[in-house]
Amino acid sequence: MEGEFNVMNKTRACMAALICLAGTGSAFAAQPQPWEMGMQPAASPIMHQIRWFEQYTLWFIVPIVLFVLALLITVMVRFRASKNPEASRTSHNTMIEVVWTVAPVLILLFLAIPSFNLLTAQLTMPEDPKLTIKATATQWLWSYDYPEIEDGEISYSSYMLTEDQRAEYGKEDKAVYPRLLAVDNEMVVPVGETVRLLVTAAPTDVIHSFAMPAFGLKIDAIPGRLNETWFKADAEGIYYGQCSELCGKDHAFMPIAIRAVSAEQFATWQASAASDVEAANQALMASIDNAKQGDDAVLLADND
Amino acid sequence: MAEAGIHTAHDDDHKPGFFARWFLSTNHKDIGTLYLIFAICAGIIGGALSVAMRMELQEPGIQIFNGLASMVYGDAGAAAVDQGKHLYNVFTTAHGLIMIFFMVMPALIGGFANWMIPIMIGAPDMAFPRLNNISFWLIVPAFLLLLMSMFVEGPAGSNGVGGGWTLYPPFSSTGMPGPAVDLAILRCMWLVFPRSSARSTSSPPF
Ligand code: HEM
Ligand SMILES: [Cu+2]
Repeated sequence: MEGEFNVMNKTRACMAALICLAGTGSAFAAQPQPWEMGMQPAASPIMHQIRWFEQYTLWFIVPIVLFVLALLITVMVRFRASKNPEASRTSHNTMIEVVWTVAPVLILLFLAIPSFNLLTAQLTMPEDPKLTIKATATQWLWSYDYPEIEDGEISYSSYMLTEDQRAEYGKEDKAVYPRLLAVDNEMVVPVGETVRLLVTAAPTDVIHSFAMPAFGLKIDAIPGRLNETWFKADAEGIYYGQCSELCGKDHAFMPIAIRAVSAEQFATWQASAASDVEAANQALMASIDNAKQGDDAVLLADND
Repeated sequence: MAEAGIHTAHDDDHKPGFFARWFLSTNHKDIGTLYLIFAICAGIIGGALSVAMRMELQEPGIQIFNGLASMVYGDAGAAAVDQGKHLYNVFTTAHGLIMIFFMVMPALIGGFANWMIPIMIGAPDMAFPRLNNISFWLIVPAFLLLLMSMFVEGPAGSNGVGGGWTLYPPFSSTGMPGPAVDLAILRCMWLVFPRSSARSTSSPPF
């Protein structure tokens, strides 16, 4: 009996692992998963392009590795000392030299062009941004400013959520608000809109780096310098990243959380966030919960 | 009599004593051996640091280094956690620096290059054998300075350099006041000299 259970459990675990690897149907995919082997699922146009480029380069790398391996094995077998006691004295072969010069140049060209395209795309906004957000790093927190909003400037700090703050912030659910990744106040953005991101560090601070794997974002936060990039969230949800340039003892404890919400929810949030961010966030979380319950109700009704 | 005297004068089988052979050496093979022994020792120390790092990384958060902090520095509670977090960075920094500058480079450049290049090009020794010797003997105090930099006073309330092996400013300068970084920088200077001289030394007499 016990043996059977074990087999069952193992089968289930394998299936679960496969599903996770395939990255399908996972509700909170924008954060690291236990035993994750690959990258987080792409959630922005740039990350899709990065994933494409990764696959594309594999089509070069894998054949090259196999080709070189085959050459090495051929040489080792065909020219082994017992079969080939007299070493060849060949020193020139113009044909081979031309081929092994031209072929790598062509391969590099095929790699360089999409690579430069990707680099340019990461720094060039495809359209006028809907919104500009400035992220400022300080030892050891992030501050977010929304300078262009009519209802007064929104400006607040985002600290890692400590375990004893969970109840106060209504963030008990560790699946949604993981330990060491959840923050007290997330960066809030409208889903599907281009957001211009300005990244810097406080003037007397050290270098940090703003990274969001699901969006394919990683850009240094340097004191006295503004770095510009952009992103566009594919889907609503919370996305997690971490400071990615060693910045001192709490480098591992200044996570980055971006909450992508619907246009209406964002409008409501920004109307009240200028005066009271915490209240605006509580209201936002309540409206997200309501929307989710609504969805569940619809699902139940469908099942009936 | 005279013949015997001439014979001994031309005897090239000099056997220096232990101290002269290993501490005053101008022999590229012996210096190469010293480098290899040094690299093995440094590799063991750098490897020991990585064991502590991997232990800490078994789980997210901080669970090993706070204990280490209270053992070594007597910190307790939140201070031990803070010191522990910093200590992780100190270990990583020392591990990175030791593995590259005190294991890989001494082994490859100091050890194998010293041994093999003169043999490969058919030269009797390095161009500057005494420089070759002092190059090695500067690495040893440089390594001691690096090890010391792990323990002396660092940023407020903590000890050691935790700037990462790249030592990017401003984190390694204004971001981390205290003598620990000074020692680490002194260590770099003590290393730069032997490294550059090792280059000129290893240019063999063509
Ligand atoms: C048993 C073998 C080793 C283990 C377990 C190990 C472990 C680690 C770990 C866990 C880190 C990352 C620490 C962090 O960023 O949180 C690290 C960093 C590093 N390791 Fe190793 N390592 C080993 C061997 C080596 C060797 C052989 C070299 C070089 C020849 C090396 C060079 C480095 C360097 C340069 C860094 C970066 C240090 C920094 O970020 O300042 N390691 N090692
Ligand atoms: Cu940081």
